[in-house]
Amino acid sequence: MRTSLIEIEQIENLLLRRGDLSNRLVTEAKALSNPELRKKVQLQSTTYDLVNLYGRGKLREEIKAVEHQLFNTSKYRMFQNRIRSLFK
Amino acid sequence: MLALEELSTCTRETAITKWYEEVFPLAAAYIQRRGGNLEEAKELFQEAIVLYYEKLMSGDVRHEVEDGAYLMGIVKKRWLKHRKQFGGNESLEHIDVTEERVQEPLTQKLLHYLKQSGERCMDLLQSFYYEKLTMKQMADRYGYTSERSATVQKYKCLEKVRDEIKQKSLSYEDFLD
Repeated sequence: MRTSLIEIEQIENLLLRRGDLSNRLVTEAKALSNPELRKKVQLQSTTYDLVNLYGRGKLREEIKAVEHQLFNTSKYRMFQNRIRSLFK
Repeated sequence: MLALEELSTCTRETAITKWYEEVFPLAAAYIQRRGGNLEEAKELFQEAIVLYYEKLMSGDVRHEVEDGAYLMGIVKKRWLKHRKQFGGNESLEHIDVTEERVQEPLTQKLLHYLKQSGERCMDLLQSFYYEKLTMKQMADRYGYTSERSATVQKYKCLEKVRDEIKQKSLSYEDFLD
């Protein structure tokens, strides 16, 4: 794996608290003394946040698709009738 | 309760369908009895599934509690919060509801840009970090010959997305200035 990817992995271990503790402490110490690395750590943390938001968006789309199926296809007629009877 | 192993072997769609068929009628009846309508029931149930799914994936669900009981618990809490927002009278004491962060405009712009510029990388990354797939499952889903190849690709994507965020954040800051 090339050097930049190894650094990404080290930052990941630091942020997600994975791998060997002493290696994480070394990465943390480097980040404290190196503004460029510190910026990379911040950006990678933001990346995880955005990836999780993206994942949540995909899950929402999937839920809506299932809901649409359940309320609009004849296969689920009994389910539809049961729900509609509640909101007459 | 649907175990994590089951959720990874059946499709997510199967699990969601099961939750709708088994729990939504109970949730809808609960909300209807308290004056809510079908749209409110649908919306709250969607939110409940997202929260429940995320708790399952993070291993933050007690194994002895059934899916239905957990989902109904979330629906009840969300309903009370919803009522509070829209003028209800029910007590909100002792409610512990996970708040969804409001997405800032810059976050929305970045997400939109990342979807446009590299959907495959975003899909791959969310499969690992959000869906919590194993590297073996990642390799199978995305057609890599080994877990090692999938791991390397994951880091390449992470680097690409991180660099794009850096560039876009700077340009948005310039724009705002």
